[in-house]
Amino acid sequence: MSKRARLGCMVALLCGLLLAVSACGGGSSGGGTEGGSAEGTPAKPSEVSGHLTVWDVFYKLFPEYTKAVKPLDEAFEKKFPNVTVEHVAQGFEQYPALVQAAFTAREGPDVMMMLPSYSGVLNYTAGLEELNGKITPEMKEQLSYWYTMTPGYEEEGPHYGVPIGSTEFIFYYNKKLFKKAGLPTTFEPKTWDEVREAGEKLKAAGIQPFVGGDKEGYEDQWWWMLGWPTVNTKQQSIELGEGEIPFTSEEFAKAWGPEEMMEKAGLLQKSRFTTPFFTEGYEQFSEGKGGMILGGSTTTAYWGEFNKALGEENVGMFYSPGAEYVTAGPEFGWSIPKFAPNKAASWAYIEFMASKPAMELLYEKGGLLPNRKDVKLPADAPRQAKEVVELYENNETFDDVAHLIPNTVAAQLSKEAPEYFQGRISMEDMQKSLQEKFEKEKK
Amino acid sequence: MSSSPETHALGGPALDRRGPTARIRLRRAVGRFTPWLLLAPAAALLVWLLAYPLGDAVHLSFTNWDGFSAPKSIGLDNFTELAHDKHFKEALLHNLIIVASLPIWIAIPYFIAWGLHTKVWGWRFFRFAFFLPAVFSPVVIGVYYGMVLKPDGPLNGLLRAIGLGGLAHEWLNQPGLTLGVVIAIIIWSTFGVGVLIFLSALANLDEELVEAAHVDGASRWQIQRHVVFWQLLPVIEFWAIIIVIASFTAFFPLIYTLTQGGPGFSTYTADYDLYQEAFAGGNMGYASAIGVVLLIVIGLVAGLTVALLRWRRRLA
Amino acid sequence: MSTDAARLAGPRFRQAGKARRIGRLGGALALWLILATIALSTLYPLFFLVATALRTTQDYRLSPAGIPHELTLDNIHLAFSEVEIGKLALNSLMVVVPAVIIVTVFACLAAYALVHFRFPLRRSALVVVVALMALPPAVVLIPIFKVVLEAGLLNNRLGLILVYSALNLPFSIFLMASFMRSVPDELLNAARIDGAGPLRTLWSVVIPLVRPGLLTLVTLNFLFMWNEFLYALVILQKETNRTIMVGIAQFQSHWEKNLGVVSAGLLLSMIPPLLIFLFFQRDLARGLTSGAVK
Repeated sequence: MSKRARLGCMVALLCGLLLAVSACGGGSSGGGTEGGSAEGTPAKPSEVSGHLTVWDVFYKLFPEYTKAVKPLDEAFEKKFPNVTVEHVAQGFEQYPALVQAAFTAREGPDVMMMLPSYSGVLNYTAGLEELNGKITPEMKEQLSYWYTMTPGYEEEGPHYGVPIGSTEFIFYYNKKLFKKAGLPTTFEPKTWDEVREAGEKLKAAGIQPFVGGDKEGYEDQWWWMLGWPTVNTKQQSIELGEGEIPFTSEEFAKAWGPEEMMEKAGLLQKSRFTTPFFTEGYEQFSEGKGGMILGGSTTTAYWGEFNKALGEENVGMFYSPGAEYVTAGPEFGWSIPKFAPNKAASWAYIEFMASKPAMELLYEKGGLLPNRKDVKLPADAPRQAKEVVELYENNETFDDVAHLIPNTVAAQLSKEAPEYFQGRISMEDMQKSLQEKFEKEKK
Repeated sequence: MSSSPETHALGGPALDRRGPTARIRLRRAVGRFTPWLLLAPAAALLVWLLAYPLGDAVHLSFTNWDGFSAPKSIGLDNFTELAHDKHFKEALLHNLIIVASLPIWIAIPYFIAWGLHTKVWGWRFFRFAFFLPAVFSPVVIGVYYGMVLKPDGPLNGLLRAIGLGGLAHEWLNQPGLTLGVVIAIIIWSTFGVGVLIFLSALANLDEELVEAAHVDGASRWQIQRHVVFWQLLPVIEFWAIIIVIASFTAFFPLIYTLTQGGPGFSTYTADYDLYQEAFAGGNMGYASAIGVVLLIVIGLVAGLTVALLRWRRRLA
Repeated sequence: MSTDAARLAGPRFRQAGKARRIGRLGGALALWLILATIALSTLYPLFFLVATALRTTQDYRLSPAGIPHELTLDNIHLAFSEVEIGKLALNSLMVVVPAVIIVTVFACLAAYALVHFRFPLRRSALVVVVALMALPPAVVLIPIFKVVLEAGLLNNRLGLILVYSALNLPFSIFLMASFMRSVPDELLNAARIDGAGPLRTLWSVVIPLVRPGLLTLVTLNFLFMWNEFLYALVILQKETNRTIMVGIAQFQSHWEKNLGVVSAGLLLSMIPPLLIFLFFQRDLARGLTSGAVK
């Protein structure tokens, strides 16, 4: 045992050395890479062949992303002529059941799409291939958000997926309506009170301050996770996920502050609890029916569509005022299930999808923001895209807190929060029941 | 079907050489086994794909299983935890509320069948129309009612238009109400089958008995209660059994497509909870324990129904 | 309301004063209106689906429940080209038709044995059948999945065919047994004296007599299997053999914004069960009762 451990250390050291050497060549700035976490070598097209089944939940769900899938797969097949790809669209709602069934059966796709952290990949580490032996140092260095694919949220450690894309949640505002209400068209609130005041002015001008939809309870969850970094730290979000901070704590309750403030001021729609966000909720913003909305920060959700409807110059964005850090993460990760028969081909696919040309194509066709250092947005990219990239590059970023708690607890949260905001249960009720669920899950 | 070659082979010409006594003996032997042979294909399928899995579910309920590694035996832990699981208890309560609504499931098709039995104008058409929802899939019903029951949807619009605006509700967002709405939708989608059954039963009614009662000066209500009801009792029992089954099996798909258990947990049923635990939470062992408790409840309800029917019959 | 209807509907022997006749007429009218209202509620979904499938999304948004103005066939086209509803329906048929055949044959044999033969444990067998009927499919989903897996039938249509057959067997046996009870034992005895074997008797004496019941069974099983979703989702995970309800549930989230396409898909998915229903409607009415009365 100890002999083996020592050997492991040696290998790790050696790899670390190797990595350091290769990193020097690239002139990197990417923090201390000590462990041997990336030791792969690029796949050779001539050595890889076979048929690949890829399970994808975004394919055919998000129109923009869907446009990128075929070109990407074709580009891959061109580079790896001996491999054919079968890209299967799976239903978003049914995906957890399918994935669970596949792992139990030890039979399924060769490549699986996984959502970051505990919203996906970290729930299935027992069934997923650890990829460190395959990840090349170059890939490791170039991509960001590795921690969302790693238990313990460290950049180093076992990676169970390769992060793709860059996104999170953000507030949008309609500049035309802001102008109409006598508000500045460059809105950069420093406190939540400023947001509230803007909302009140909109309301006074006869404009619905916030639109959206909370039928599924997602919207409440987003408010909570955007409230979190304004009252808590990144470390505290990890501690909540690990049970060191209970759900019954002040830290948890405080993060609801911003939404409570807006609700109390009557800035949120009464009808939101019966309005589904993804169909009707956000369309209201496109239709110019509301001054502000909380939504995803990339084109898969929604500035792409807002820009089309309202005009690029009329869509503004702001992040949680006074946040200690900015929540950001990948759109998804590509993972290989342990049962995949042809892991060389699976990996070739993932490696290609994480490469520079693929990520450029992904932005060009699908509008997904890149999470690769060497991929820059084209000069003619919309202002909003550049703003988001800047926001994530210039601030300390970390995954959002909802991704750090078990997904069943997050699901329960989005069931209970609407009940709380409709006055049917108290904050204490919600906290207690979430804590119970959390403890049950951790058993 | 698979039993047929055997039976034929045994009675086939190849056996004739053995002479009559042997043949008769064989026939008798075959005769004794005939019912078993006829049952064999169904029994094999049921044991393999229903009874054995059921036993397995009971076994899994005593384990902790995440679906990846081998199940770990943990004794009664799942059940003690279930006893403290407030959402599960709530879900089970909803199942019981559904069961308690069964008299309505019987009464509605019963009385509608009476209405049709008078051969009102267009009764055939009504019969067809009433059965139609049974053809709709839960997905269709879910999408359709999701649209109709919106706060600004057609139903509330209709209520407001006819001056009953006070009755307009957020049908799918009121904890006390939504379960009732779901039950109503299930009744709506099954009553046509009941109407069909009762209607044909009424057609076979012994009119002479009814006439006799009338001559005796019985009021229409008395006839209804003392003559017709008792004649229809076997049919009512038949329908009761069907809807007891439906009350445990028909709700899952609709809840899945229409309410997802919401608002809050107010339309969670035990089998929906089970599905969530197993496939969203990956707690297969715990989910199996939910299944076992649900089975016990079903057993009790079914037993009670049968006992009740027997008791009624004895009264008759 | 229903009590009134029942009273009005009672057996029809009456002599009449004029006032009474008017009262009865008014009552009949009220009854008719009630029935018409209920019928409206069951027919409207069909109208809604047809209307929504045939109109543009903009038109739908103007008055979701009302009469369409801007008609289009685009939604139907999209349902075929993008959702591949035709392929999905074919996949479903390839599972449902064999399963309906298996379940009907097995149920007939078993019910025949349970009703017309005397043998030990007969009553217990009947009780087991009734008990298995009330089993919620979700309870055995995991262990059935395991069995299918161990048999190597995952992602194989045969796996789903057998599972559907098993899930519907208890109810089918129960129903078939109810139908067969109406066949008098004397007829069977006569056939036996004529030298017919048990299978021959079943085929040429019993089956013709329970024909409406048999068609009822076929219809109900077809409806159930066609509309089933959960088992189809986990057992057939590949896109190439995906069944129609799984496909619809999936494209529902993809096309949510375009309710026209969703409606077109839903409408098309209803055609086979509707046809079966229309075709067997008459037998259904007779079949269900012949089972219930005895």
